[in-house]
This record gives sequence, structure tokens and C-alpha cells, in this order.
Amino acid sequence: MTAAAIVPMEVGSAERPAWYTTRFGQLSLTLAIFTAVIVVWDLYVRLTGLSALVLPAPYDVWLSLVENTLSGHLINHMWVTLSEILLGFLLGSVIGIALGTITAQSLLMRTILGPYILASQAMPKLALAPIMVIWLGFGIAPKVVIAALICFFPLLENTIIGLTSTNPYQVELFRVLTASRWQLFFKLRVPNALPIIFAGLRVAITLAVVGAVVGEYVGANRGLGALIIAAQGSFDTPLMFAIFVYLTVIGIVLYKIMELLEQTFFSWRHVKPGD
Amino acid sequence: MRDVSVSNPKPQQVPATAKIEFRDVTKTFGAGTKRMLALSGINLSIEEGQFVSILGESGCGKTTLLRIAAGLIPPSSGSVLMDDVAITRPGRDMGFVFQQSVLLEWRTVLENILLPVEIFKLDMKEHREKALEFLKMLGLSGFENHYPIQLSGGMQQRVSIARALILSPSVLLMDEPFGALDAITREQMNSELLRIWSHSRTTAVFITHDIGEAAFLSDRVVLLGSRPGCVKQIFDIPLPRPRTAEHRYDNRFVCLCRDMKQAMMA
Repeated sequence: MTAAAIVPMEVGSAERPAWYTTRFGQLSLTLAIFTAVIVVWDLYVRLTGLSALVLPAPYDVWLSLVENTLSGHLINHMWVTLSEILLGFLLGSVIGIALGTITAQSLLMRTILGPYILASQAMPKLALAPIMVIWLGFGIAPKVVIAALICFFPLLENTIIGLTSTNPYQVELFRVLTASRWQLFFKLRVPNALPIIFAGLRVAITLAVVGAVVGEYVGANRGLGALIIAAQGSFDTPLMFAIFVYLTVIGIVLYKIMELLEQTFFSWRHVKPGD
Repeated sequence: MRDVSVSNPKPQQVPATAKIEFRDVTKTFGAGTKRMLALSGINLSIEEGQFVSILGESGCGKTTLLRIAAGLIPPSSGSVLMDDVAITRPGRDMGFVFQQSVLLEWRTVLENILLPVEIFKLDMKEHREKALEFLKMLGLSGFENHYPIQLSGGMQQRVSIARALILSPSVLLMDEPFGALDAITREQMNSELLRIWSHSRTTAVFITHDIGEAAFLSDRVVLLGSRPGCVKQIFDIPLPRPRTAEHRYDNRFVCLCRDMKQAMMA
């Protein structure tokens, strides 16, 4: 989970581009790698005669995936997990941004609150899952809270950094223009912080998936995490793998949505020098 | 609306033509053994509509002098008057150009130029026309919707000059605006600055360490001595306006530059 965006490499476009640098070529290579992994996986299972309990063949996973999707089993549990992820992300982000904004207002505040902010980061949030179950029961609430806790820190930190890392010359410009405190905040500090806050949101959305699933491990009867524990109990390893596929897809889709929003909001960051 | 306040209610004996007046301005930084005298006893009068350059080596306090004139920092003693009123803080009547262009990278060229209009909540439509006019004058037509990162250093600095002039200030303060540019671009920028300045003839104070630049732009050049900064000598530049690049090869121009260089070294 990296905060930095993956910047596509600029490839020399002079003359005829090599086939593997074209869009089609790149897509083919990506798919080829996927196929290779599946083939190696399948061969490994066949040749070693490994039990499906330990490592099911790709085709068994596929069958389980199709069967449990068509029956609505996986979808039902996915909605539970997805709503935990989104609610937790929303809650954690809003609180993180709000507290970050307040903390960024004064150095005194940052100094006083500093140790607590550090402690809240150092504390492994997932370790709180059992106590959350005791406090909040087996429903959706403890998972939302864990997801929120885990999303909270990157947003607190990035909001503080974003709002305080303003270029001192730009601050001076606003002084020369006799800008008010509000104008300085909304016309300089906030626009300067937004890309950094967005980077925090991108990290948080993937962390929220972890928070929700681990929350479900600890105590739940619904959701994809609970289903993994159930599959473990009934030795249904293909189902476990099918759920991994679901979780991965959820993570990718959420991340891509954030990326798309970022590109829409911050189009200025994507122009290149000399355009 | 002017953001200056009267600190001295006594009648002034300043001649009516003085737009900016430095009176016994000193500035010290730090305290105790680290106390450093940056400017000492600066007396200087800048007339309305004049282009005055403040020339000096780096570290002589010329930027400090400009920042005091802008009301960004207070003098340790003495005062700076604008239209006979002490300057205590920045005001709308003053345009400021920094060493770097200091553009907001998330705003387009046009949005950057219109930032002061936004801050002072003035009529956008009217100033938009004016901003486009400036862009045309500065050879930046068609770049209004570009982002700063898409422009060269010289173009960025031109945008910041347009931003400083958008509210038609009566004083334009410039802090080595072309210091970061190469020699050729700098000479081009000098000519363009004079072209846009000649339309408004606003009182201009220009900080530089480049003798040729100071001589080419100015009606008067104030040479500052170093440690502590003080007025060493004032040169009048009698070259006619409008000035063109040809003036740089004029005999009088060359002699003036030589004199200034000798005075600077002395």
C-alpha cells in the first residue's frame, strides 16, 4: 500500500514504437503474466497431488466462485463487508480531516496533542478488535469502528501536513495582498492541502478493507471475513479463495474510484511541463 | 481604500512630489551579541512616477529596505512614508513582485492574475478584460488557461508582473524579479517591463544587483553600501524614454555603468 501514484513511464515516441510499448502490447503482456501464474499454479497442484484442502486447483476455485456468486451467497456477504468498509472509511476520514484541520491551526495544539497523535498511530488498531466486539457486539458496528480507526490516522497526518506545508513565499504573497485569515485558509492552505489529503484517502480506502475483514474475523456471522472463518471451519478452501478474489476486486475498484476522483479534481497536477 | 495609517500627526515638510520617503530608516536583526545592523540611516525620496532602482551587492540589505517599504516588516527606527503617511502594513495601492514568480500552481494563468481581484472582492468581469489586455502586452496571449508549470521561468515572472499591476497600484515594488533568469531573457524582460510600465507610469522601485539592468530601467539608481546598508551614491540616468535595447550601446549608458561599477567597488 503506497501513497504515491504510479507514474507511467514516458516512452520515446520517435519513429515506430516497439510492440510492447503500445497499449495493446502492454495489455497482452499483463494478461500473459496472469495466464502464466494460473498455469504454474495448476501444474503445481497436479504434479504434487496436493490436497484441495491445502491448495485447490484454479478450476475448483473458479467453480466455487461461480456457484457461490450465482446462489447470491457471496454477494449477500459482500454487501455487509462493503457497507462496513464504506461507513468506516467515511467516519474515519471525516473525523481525521476535522481533527487534522483543528490541530493544524496552531503549533501549540500540535505540540500538546503530538504525543497522543503518535500513540494513536503506534497502537495497532487491529489489536482493538476483541474489545470492540465486547463493547459493541457482533453486528456491523464494531467493524465500522475498526475500519474508521484504521482510516483515521493517515487522514489526520496528511491533513496536518497538507495544511501546514504551505510555501512561505505564497504566504507572503497573501500578506502583501492583505488577505484575511479565512482567505489565506481557503484560497491557499486548503487548495495546497487537497492533493495531500487525497493521497491519505487513497491509502485509507485500502486500509478500510483490512479493518472490516479483520473485524469480522474476531466476531461476526455475516460478511466476507466471517465467511472465510466459516469456510475454514468446514474445510472449504476453494470458497476461501473465491472470497479472496472478491476482496481483491473490492480493493481494486475502490482504489480506482479514488484515483479517478483525484484525476478529476486535480487536473492541474497532470499537465506536464512544456504542454 | 488605503491600508496605511497616520502615525505622525505633525504637518510634513516633504515636497509634494515625493511619493515614497525613507526617513532615517534603520533596521537591526537579532539581539545581544547576535545583533546585526542591516540598514543604517537611510534617507531617500522617490518622486511620483519615477522608476528607481536600488543597486547593491547581495547581503547589503536592499531586500530588507523593500520589505520595509511594502509594510511587511517594521523599521527599527525611522519611518517610510507613502503620500506623507507612514506605511505600517501592505495595502492595495501597492504591487509587489517577488524574486520568484510565486504563482499558485493549481490556478491557471488568468486565475493567478485575478487573485488580487478576488482577495479585494472587486468586479471580476472588468478586471478579466484588463488581465487579457496585460497578457497581450506581455506576449502571453493564448496562455490564459495554461497552468504555471507549463510556462518557462520568464513567462511565469511576466504573469506575476501582470498580477502585481492588475489593481493599478500607484507604487510597484520589485525584488530582483529577473535574478533567476538567463542574461538574454533578462534583457528581454527589461524591455517588456518598461513597455508595460510606460502605460501606467506608476512609481516603481526595483531591487537588483545588476548594474546594466539598473541603468537601463531607471530614472535614478540608488547605490547601497554594505554592512550596514546605507545610501552610498545616487545616479541620475538621463537617457531618453522610451528606451530600446540600442540604448545599452549608447556611450552615456556605457560610461554610467562604468561609473556605477567603480562606485560599487570603492
